[in-house]
Amino acid sequence: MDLSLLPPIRDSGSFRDPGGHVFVCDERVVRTVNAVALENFRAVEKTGVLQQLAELGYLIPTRELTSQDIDVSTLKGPRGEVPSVVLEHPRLPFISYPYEWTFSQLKDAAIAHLDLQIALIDRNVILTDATPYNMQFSDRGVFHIDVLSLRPYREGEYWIGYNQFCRLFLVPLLMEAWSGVPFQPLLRGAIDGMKLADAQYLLPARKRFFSINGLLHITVHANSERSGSSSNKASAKIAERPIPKSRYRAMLTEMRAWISSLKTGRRTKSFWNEYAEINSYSEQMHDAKKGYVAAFVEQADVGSLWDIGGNTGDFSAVALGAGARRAVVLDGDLDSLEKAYARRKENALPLLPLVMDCADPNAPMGWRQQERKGLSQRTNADAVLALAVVHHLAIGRNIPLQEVVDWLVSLAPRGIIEFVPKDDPMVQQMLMFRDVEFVDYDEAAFRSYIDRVGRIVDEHRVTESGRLLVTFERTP
Amino acid sequence: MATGVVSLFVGAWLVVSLSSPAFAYLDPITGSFLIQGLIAGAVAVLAAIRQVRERVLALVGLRKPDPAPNIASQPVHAAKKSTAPDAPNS
Repeated sequence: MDLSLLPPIRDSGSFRDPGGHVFVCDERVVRTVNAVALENFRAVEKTGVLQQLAELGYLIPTRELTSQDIDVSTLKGPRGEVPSVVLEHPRLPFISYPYEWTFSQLKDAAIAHLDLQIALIDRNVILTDATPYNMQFSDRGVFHIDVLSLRPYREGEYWIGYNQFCRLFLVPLLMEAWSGVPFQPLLRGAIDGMKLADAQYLLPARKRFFSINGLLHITVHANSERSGSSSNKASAKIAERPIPKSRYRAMLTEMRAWISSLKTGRRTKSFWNEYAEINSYSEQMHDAKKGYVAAFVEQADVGSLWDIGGNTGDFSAVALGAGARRAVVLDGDLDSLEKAYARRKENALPLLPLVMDCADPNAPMGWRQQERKGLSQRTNADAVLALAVVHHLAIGRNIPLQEVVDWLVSLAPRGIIEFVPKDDPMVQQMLMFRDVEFVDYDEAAFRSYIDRVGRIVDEHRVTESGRLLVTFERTP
Repeated sequence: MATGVVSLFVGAWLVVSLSSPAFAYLDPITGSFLIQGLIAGAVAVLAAIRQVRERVLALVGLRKPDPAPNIASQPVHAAKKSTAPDAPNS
């Protein structure tokens, strides 16, 4: 296919590395390799790692395009660079960020990153960065997506990404493992992570001083960030003291062993984790709801399904079983999402759990607020499920019902929304200590709000208390 | 025992280094580089201890040797039924 007729758009997050940039041409993703990075790229390519490690799932698959495939003059970099080589990668179904991952997801991404580095150094290649933003979840695993981060190993060199790894992988993981505090707000607030010199105080002193890994990688490392020395003196010292390759490798393997042993330290067993068991409708009704979801998916061609407030991914799993090609489960509850992630790994499901408070979706971040995209910029669902979620937003968070409906319908051209009436025991419980009237919260208003932005295709009454499933189609 | 020695060594260094005056601007990453030689040395000792421990445990049948991550093995993070990465969209 000739891509030259399509106007390529440079990814707004791809500007830092002068070595090359990512462009999207229609539905395809290409990466340019500029003259400054060509020598390294060819040297890495010659080792065969790009293909070998892609086959094993450590690296994104890459193929080189020819001048017949694409006109390189349409792929100029932000500094006017004309690429020497153009590569193509598979398009990822959804780009997610570390502040949207659970502890287990970040841990797996860290292990995958270290596995890749170990495999690379055994072939005399290294990674020049260590950022989780370069790790992405595919339908099956998690792999590194930036092949321009690879370059040949130079004898005696240091682990360049060590500080970055500790800031963006290690500290967030230790926050949850050691302090029992979720790391997502930290990463959401600091795109490069926190300095270790500051972050160390978030971690318990007994671990920082009395465990060998804590002492080395946190306390000593943090202290080095503040210790006095000029950059010139520093580079001279480094040049005098090369690190043997065996020690470089030991840093990676020991870090991997340590991270593999980390377990979440959060103690609170969340309410939502048990929600499916204690909520007000019976097993039979739950099955009926599953049947309704399955029938909907079987009729529609669903590439990507977004399951809003999807909890442990119960209904997403049903949708996948019914023919949806992949599902994204968005929820604010970490324990539920951990279960969803365990389900993904156990059953090899193309299901991606994402930590997201739907009343406060993740915003654009970074340079010009375009480097990391907000949720609305990544909306690509073919269908949306919003089961037992409307009342949490409309009543729990005081969002006008019309806005809730507008937002849900904006996410996908079709979907199922469940309306839970005021009489429902769950809503009654929510209203118990509330003085607000919620005058617009009723079934008639709900229907009318859908009619404004789409049409109701089907309805199904789920419980005697009046829970209603509505299948909608958005007005094109 | 050896881990204790490493801790002592690192701890002693720490006491000395904490008292050093900060007189020049230093990029945190440069500082991280400066200390990496020492950390890598200590970590190499830890790695050697681990290797010996694993071998002894394997020898007495208490533990199977931990498969080192290499390109011949399936990444641990990948889903169990995974066989290959995604094919490019066509």
